Amino acid sequence: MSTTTAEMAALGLDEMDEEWSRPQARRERLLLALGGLFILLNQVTLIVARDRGWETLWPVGVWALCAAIGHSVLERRLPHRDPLFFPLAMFLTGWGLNLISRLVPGFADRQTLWLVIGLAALLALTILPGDLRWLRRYRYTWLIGGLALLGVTIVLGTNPSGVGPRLWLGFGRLYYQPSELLKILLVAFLASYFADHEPYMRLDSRRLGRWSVPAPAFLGPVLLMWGVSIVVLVWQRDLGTATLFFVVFMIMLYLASGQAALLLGGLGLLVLAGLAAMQLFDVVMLRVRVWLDPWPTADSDAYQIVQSLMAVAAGGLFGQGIGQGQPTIIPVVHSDFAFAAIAEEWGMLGALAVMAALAVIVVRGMRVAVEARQAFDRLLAAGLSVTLAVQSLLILAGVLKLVPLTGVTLPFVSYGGSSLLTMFVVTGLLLVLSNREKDAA
Amino acid sequence: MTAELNRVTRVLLLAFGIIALAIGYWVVVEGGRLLAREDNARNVIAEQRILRGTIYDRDGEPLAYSRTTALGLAERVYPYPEAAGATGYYSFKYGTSGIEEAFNSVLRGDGTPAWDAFVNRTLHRPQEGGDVRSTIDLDVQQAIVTAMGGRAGAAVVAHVPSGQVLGMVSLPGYDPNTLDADWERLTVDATTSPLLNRVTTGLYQPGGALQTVMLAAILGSYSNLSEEAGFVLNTELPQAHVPVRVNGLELGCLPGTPGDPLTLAEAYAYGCPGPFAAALGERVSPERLWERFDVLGLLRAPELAGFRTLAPPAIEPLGTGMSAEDLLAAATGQGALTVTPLHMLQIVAAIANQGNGIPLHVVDALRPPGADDWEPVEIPMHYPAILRMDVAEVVRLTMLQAAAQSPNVRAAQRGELVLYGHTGISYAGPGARPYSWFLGFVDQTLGDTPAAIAVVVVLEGETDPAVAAHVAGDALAAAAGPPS
Repeated sequence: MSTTTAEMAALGLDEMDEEWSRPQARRERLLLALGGLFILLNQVTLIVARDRGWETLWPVGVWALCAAIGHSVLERRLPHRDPLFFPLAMFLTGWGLNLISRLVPGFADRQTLWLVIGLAALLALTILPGDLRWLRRYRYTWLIGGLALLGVTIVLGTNPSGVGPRLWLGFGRLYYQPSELLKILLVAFLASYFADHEPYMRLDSRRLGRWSVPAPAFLGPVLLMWGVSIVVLVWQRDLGTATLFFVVFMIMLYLASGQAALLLGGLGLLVLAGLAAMQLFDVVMLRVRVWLDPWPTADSDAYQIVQSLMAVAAGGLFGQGIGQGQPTIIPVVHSDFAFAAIAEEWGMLGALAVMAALAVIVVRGMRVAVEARQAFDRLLAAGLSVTLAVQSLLILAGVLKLVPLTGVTLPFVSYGGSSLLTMFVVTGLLLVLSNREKDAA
Repeated sequence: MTAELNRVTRVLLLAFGIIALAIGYWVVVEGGRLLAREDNARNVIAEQRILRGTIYDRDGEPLAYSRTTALGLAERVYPYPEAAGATGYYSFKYGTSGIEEAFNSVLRGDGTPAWDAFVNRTLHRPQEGGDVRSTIDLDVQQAIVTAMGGRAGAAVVAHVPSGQVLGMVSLPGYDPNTLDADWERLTVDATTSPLLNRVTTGLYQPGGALQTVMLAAILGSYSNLSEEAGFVLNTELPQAHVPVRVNGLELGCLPGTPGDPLTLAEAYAYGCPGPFAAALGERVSPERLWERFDVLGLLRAPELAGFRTLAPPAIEPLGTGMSAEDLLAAATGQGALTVTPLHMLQIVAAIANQGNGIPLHVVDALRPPGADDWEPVEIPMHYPAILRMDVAEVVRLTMLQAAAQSPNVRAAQRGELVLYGHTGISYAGPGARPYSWFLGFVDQTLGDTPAAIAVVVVLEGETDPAVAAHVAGDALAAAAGPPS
């Protein structure tokens, strides 16, 4: 029996009504609206406080459009998704736009463009086959492709600021950092590899004193691919990302093997690698020295971290207010020290809010992993969540002098298109995975 | 794997919890220490944003004010750099001097009520300072600068008996608008010392200018001046012209002195040191002269309300046990005693004010930020007498006679003003540059209340005392109108 046009239209409206009335969808809309209000208020306050033109509101307009389109497409494509991932990612990104408009107004247009690109990538993931087979099946292809891109960066890489490590590939006015893409590809590779070998890794293990470790046959290929990634990153002096890879790898290995000894051994190796890096790289030695005792060199080597701590202190509980603090005293505040800027202008409460938003994404991501039925999904969700968590913790702890500075960005918030695009892809994958589990249920 | 996932989640949450504690640590525990650090640029920026209050001259002309630059920082502007001798300077880098220093807390707005300060801080308004009304008369200030014509030295003019300082010039000076840029040059030249306020802190040999003090001491040794003053002043003195040799210097009468015989009044008018040197030990004991120095305030820092002044270096008290050479040096103002122009101004003012000192001050009213009305600065109404009234009166008449007789003093005469004056030369030592002094006042008495404009000028490297008198004359003419 054929359906008439009127019946189809009626069916469409019914679906739409259903979408709008679903509690999950309502919750997501409410969160997006609250986030949007916060971002709008910040931008208006910034305009008034810094005597800016009202045309500088346009990033908020783009943000609102992205939120509306994103929510609408997700409702259709992933109706059973986790309702917190998208609003929290958009909330943090919008806050980041506020921050970049305040700190480096000239970069706000580029970051807004990256938001659009990031959202497009996120939504594109929802169109691809839902079982993510394309990612799992061609793991070597993806990873080698990512490494090749990294290799190209070694030869043709550039730095948008003209000085410093050449970690970017330039496309006109846009620059992309391939190591960001490698984060996802490496996690996908590890998830795929470990998912295929997980039962054997747990069963076929070797005794090493009191501890058992997986057989070398299982670990060999993965260690090789991971090692190549690390070597390339170290070659590029991208030591922050190398550290991130190392920690994520160790945690995923622990998740797959269930061997806590591996994790402890990995931590030991990390310390050894750090000591070796101190001998090999002056910058590592400098950062460790500055971390241990920044005060004697507060006006030279430790200027950045000391100013960062002063910014946090200056923010107090409630902050100075957007546009009212002095975070621009900190060199490259918009990328490495975005968190210090937030602490100064939004206070301890603002800093805790950012941290809580990131923590909630991580916890929800881990929950997706726990609820996933397939090992690949579990490991992918966990790997992506751990990547987001470790990257956040590395930069937060670095800014607060808990660990040496590593130079990674604060997810969603810091200036940087590559980082933002990567985080939107991570969010997209988590959304797909969360939707699959609910679908299956 | 679920157990491992839960374990990892717990560890990650614990790590986030540690981050939260770290934020609290830097905000709550270490916040105060971090914010108070000298290298905290936020303090520097807050300081640079302070809109200091305006310094006005006595007629409401702004001598210094602050404005906000495009960067949001405050900039201090001095529309009349020639007033720098009084206003001083404000520099974020190099600090303050003059009125800027003396009334720094008012100009910065440090006394802003706690609630207003809190509101300002919350709304990120820059701290606003209060205004200061000086007693400086811009016309007087400019007249002095013009008359000095770039000569090094100092000049100070004050109203008697109010003690209001009308003009205060120290040269070579500086332009406070370009102080930061000029600092190197201003500080490198120790001989000219442009940043030294010579009025309040410039120590000079009094030399011939001490003859007024000696004259007062001699007159003070007579108990009944109404009977004896004529005799003391008008008796012809043998050898009045004879130069005095002291510390390798030969001190004589000023150029233009008539021939013998001279009276004490004439010797005073022409700056002859002989009779005054001879009086020490004969008419005035060293101990008595020392006591006079003390009463006249020459042994301590001169008083100028709110200002940092300089006490002369401590010297050995005069006494009969001292060598004749030292006593001679002390009597001629070529000894260890050094004075500032402000010291001498107080003595001149007392002569014009029946022996009473005056409360010297440069600021007479303050206005809190945002207020319309001025609040007067508390100034002591009466100052103790530093000279006997009859002594002051006789010295005054002697200065009037000097103005009539001495061509050097007469150089200060302007129009119909009734001038009282005395000139003198002093030397920092053999071969050193001489200083040319003028001390005097013009009478402005109306009825029974004495009133005058007093002036002290000292010029460095100037051997002609008429030049100092000329500067004084221009200053007195500019200030001649009664102060409001």
